[in-house]
Amino acid sequence: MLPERLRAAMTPLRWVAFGYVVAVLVVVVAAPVFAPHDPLQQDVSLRLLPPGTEGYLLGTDELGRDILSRLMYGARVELLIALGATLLAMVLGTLVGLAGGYFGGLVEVLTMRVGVDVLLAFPPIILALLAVTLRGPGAGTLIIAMGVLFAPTFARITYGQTISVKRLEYVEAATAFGAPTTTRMFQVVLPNVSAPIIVQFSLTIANAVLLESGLSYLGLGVVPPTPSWGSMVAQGQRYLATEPHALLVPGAVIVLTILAFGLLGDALRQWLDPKSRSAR
Amino acid sequence: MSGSLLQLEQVEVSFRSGKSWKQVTYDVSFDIAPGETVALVGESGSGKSVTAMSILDLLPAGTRRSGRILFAGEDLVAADESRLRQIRGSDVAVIFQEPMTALNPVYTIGDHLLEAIRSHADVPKEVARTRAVELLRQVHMPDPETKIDHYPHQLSGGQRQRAMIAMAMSCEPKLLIADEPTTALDVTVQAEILDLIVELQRRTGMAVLIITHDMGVVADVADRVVVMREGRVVESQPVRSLFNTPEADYTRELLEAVPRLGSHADVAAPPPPGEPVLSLQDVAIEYAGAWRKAGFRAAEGIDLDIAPGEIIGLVGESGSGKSTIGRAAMGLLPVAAGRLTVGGRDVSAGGRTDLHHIRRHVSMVFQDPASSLNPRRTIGQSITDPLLWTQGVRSRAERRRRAAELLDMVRLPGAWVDRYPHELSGGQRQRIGIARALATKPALMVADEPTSALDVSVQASVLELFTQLQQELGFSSLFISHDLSVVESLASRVVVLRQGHIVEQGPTLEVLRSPREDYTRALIAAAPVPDPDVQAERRARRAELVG
Repeated sequence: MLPERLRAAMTPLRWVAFGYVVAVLVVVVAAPVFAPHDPLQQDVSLRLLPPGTEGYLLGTDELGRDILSRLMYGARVELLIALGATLLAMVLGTLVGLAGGYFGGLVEVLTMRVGVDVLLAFPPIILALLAVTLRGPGAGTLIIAMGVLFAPTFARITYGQTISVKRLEYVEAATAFGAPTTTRMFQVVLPNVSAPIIVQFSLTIANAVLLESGLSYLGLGVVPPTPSWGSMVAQGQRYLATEPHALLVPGAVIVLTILAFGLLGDALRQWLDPKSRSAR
Repeated sequence: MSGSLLQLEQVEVSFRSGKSWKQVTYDVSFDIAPGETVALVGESGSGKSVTAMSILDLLPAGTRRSGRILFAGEDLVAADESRLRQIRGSDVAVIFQEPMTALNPVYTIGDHLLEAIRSHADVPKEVARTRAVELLRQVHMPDPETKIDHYPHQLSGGQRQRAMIAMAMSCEPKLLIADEPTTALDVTVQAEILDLIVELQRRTGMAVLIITHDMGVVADVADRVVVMREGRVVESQPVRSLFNTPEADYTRELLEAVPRLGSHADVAAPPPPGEPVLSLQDVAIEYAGAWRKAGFRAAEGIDLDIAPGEIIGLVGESGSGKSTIGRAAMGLLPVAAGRLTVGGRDVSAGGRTDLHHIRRHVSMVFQDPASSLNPRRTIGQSITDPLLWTQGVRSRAERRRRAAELLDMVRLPGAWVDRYPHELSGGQRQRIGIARALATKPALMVADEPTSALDVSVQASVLELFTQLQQELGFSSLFISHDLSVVESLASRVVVLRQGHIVEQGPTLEVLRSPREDYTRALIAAAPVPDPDVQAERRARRAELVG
């Protein structure tokens, strides 16, 4: 039996999104089991087969590689990068926001003003370009670059929550009863600001999938021939007029994935937000 | 009953919860005659506000009313929204507990008043403005011509409530519904606002429905009283007979639970003098200002000693600096000048070791138990965290054992260690707050208004527990309160504060029975006593002084 609040948050559409995300996760873990072909195996005689062809459910690309298998393996890279970057962003951003909100004063200036606001002033793609130029393309670069890029959102959310929570009496009570500063920050304040951070986590994953695809599309993501959704779109683009499925299939998967994570984020927000009880 | 202005017949209110309805009031019936004042009394959750708000259907969406509410012969349950809107603010006006949240902060007092006046009478702006100034004068707003252009935050709490009343009076209502109109105000201001309501009522002949939890207020203004409990009317009587011969057991309990100033013959005797547990000598406390701005001096020239085992009552109105002193004694605020000594050690410097010293010897009970307990920690963790933090008790098993012991001391089941604060009632939560303050076996406990967020009957039991524990364990206490009768029941000495300065201090009996200072006298005179005869006499005396 689900708690009432969670039940209210899970509309049928959000259940579908939940199912989709679970399916993607299963595929990510067990891609070698499910994938009908080797995603790197080329066979030019079978190039650009339409979806529904015997043995190639979603067709093949311009080098005759099975699109379904490439999508499955691509999901691994995609989610590894998206999850890694989001986790990094969450840890970085939460620490920065917590410190800035809790200490205020000079620490706030250094973290929120100098760090976060300056970072937010740059367009994300430009910053990612810079990182790729400095470190060369690859999954590691993307995780770090996107992690840093998404951190300010977490920092802002944590900062805002922290300054309102730190004024509450139980934080003062902890001080009065001798709790050390680290205890107050991580045991008293952090658990009480965590709900919006968790919500932001799922929304950021959606953003990360989008940005990763975008960067791979621009050739700044993972290095070919490793399959990635963004680069599949980029390759399919050339055959858009004649064989649109090479672009449409990976594009649809990207859209669905972003949509699913976004919907789950909404569900989480409604579930974890105590104020949602009265809203209907 | 043909002469009644408002008549409630078997009114029941239900809130929607999910797919079902949760009934919150049952079979509520009473009536109000023109010009009469009826008090609707009860503790939190009794349904008194819900009942009052149901009259004009000011309840949140997802609420259902049934029964009949007859206002001047018209059924308001059956009335549609547009008719209700006509009645609201013209025949029936409402004032709320907290005028700061009831007034829109981006509009001036004048904007509010003009809106109220012009929504019911089609008059030009200039006429409405003249009328608004006149209304403000009627509610005794000081300097109404200037105040009309002020924003709500520029007024004091009492002035805001006056502005709310002026709005309510703008269309000469036949009935004024006042929902805890003085609860957020200091006692001296409360007395003025109640005087104002009574005066306006005499002049205009309106009826008043006042919702309150304060028996003193009831005794002061009401003609008749309706007592509610758990959604039902327990009894309904004229005010004198209610106080003299209450019929329902619940009313009797309620009246007994009200602490009465002057009823404690056996005030706690001062303990034998010893080396003071806490000593303040000419202490000043400041709140730091913004960068390059001067700080705010919240208390100055404070001299205060607390002997071992002694309870000192620190009383004063809001802004008097009483909480500031409590927080400084706890090391939460630095001392700007003077000497603060805890257990014989000068801790004025407020360094690391000083603070550690304070936290080993002093603990604190906070005002609002709902917000002073971390909602994400179990109560067992909350009450034993101080042991971990100040005494380094790392063993979980040991802390769990101590938690059960502490719960037992505050008369709660030891098995509750794994519960969360939201699973407890207000009174139970405050017991947890006390248990936490006992964990380190402190020599001094600072109690900052520990019962003012609680219902009277709960307050009585928490105070009793506090006294018992104090006698058993012998700790000293700095007991901060705005309620003189609470202080009288506990403290052996009283310190009266006003605007950061000590007005008067001395043995409880001396200060409260024969105060030397005018301010103390005013404070005592303003505190409403739950006795209609005494209140009537006082009101007459006040009226004589004024007129």
